[in-house]
Amino acid sequence: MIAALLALAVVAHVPTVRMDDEHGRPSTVGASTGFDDALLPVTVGYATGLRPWQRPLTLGATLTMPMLRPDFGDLRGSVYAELDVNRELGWMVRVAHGWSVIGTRNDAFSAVGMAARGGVTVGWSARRFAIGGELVAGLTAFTHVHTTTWGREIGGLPFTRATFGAPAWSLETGLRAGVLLGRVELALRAGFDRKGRLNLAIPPVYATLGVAVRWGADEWRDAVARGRAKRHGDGRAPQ
Amino acid sequence: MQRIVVLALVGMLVGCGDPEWVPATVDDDPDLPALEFNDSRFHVERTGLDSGVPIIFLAGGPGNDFEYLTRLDETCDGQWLGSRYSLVWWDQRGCGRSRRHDDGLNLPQFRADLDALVEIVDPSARGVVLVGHSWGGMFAADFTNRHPERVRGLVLIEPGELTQELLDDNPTPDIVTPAAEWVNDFAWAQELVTLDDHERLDFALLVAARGAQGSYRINREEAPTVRLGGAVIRANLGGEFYPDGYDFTTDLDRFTTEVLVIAGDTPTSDLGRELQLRQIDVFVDATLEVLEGSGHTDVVWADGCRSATLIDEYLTRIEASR
Repeated sequence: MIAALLALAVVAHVPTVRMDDEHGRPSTVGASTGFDDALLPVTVGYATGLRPWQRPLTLGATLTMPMLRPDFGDLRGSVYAELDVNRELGWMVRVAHGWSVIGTRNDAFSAVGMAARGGVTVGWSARRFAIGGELVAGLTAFTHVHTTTWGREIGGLPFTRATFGAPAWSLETGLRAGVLLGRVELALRAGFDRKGRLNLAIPPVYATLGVAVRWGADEWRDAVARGRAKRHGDGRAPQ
Repeated sequence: MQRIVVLALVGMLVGCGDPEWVPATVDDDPDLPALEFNDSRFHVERTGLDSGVPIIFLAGGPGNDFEYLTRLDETCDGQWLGSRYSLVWWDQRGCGRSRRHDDGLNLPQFRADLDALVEIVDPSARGVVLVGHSWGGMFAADFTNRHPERVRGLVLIEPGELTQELLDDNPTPDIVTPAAEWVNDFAWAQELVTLDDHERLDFALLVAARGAQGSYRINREEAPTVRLGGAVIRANLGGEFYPDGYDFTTDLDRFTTEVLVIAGDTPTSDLGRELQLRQIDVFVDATLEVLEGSGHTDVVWADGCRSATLIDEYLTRIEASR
């Protein structure tokens, strides 16, 4: 079980266009929203690109909260890492891994749990564009539940506090695409979200649209410098 | 240190599956009173006079358990229905503490279950009294429509629409709206509780149970549940429960005994006085009693004693006229 958990990873809300740059260390902040475990959950995130072992690696963190009915009891905080197996642009094979702390609060109970998510994305990656199919598996390692007075006295719940092992899982299969316009990346994720054999009428789909701003890569510094030089008319980049 | 961490993780992942999400069913707890028929096992409790005419109580939903009807089992104004009758409290298929099923949760199966239960509690066919609330009232009317000779008395407490035509003309407010807080709570909670078995389904549905009727069917006092029948609610939401174009009134003219209909009169209830006035004419002889200020479940819970008294008076009346 532990090995399986450790093998899982997360790819949600990760920048899609490659973050690596051989002459700098790009970073990005962004936000995404859509339908993903709730209607209009807003995710804000930070990520940075590294290049260990000569392979692009993205490290990041996100915070998600359903905003249609904001409740500070409903939160998900995640950290993740995603590695490009291919060193070069072109065919893209990425593996990702991450952990989340998730909280929820409603009339019947409040709960907090820890989940691992993991996945693989296979597709095509260009300098300013990437598209691929993704497979993401998630497993909640445990959930600690605290029932409300209503949940016990009216709802019949037989406990006040309890911890449950492996109470939730998910399997997402879909499309992931991103385009970099200057420093701004637009990213889309959409697909099917399988959750439990007795799932109810909640649509088993996810679809999010994200926007992020990047900075810190040499190519952008160079572009700014070239712009300044052009305005000054000397044709040289300032030192 | 590493060993402690690993052991803690193993314990967390394996050992924590022991607590129960919801109360046990008759399959998990052999001490619960149960009856087996129709390839299932049902939670059935009996109170009152063993030799008395059986009164079968039918809960609403479909999907509710009988707990919220049990105020009808109390002594009210010095009278207890159980002093003269045998009271039968039944959790319908897949509900309350009865056995769970993945499929076969539809009206034909429920009809077969009630038919079998009546045979068990009334083997000599002297007749049973049916008391049903909401869906349970529809269920009781349907049985009476099919087997009027087996029904000694019929009490419908805010029954739902007895025909598809009336249902279409009295639509339930749209409870599943994307902006509803309970919808978002329910969806988000699935990050932590996947609906992969009946225990988790019944548990998670509690999130919806309160919110889904939050803006209508308002009650003075919330009625309790022991355990929802999630798979039954799921079948109903998925359109698998009712056949197309149901009609529980086709042969009700064969039932000539007085019927007691009890309703509340709160403006938020779609099943209150107004609806009952529209459908009471399907019975040959019916009396409508309206409980002022009573919501949809208030009629059996907050005002359970008032209803129990009305039922007792009704039974005295029909027994005297036999």
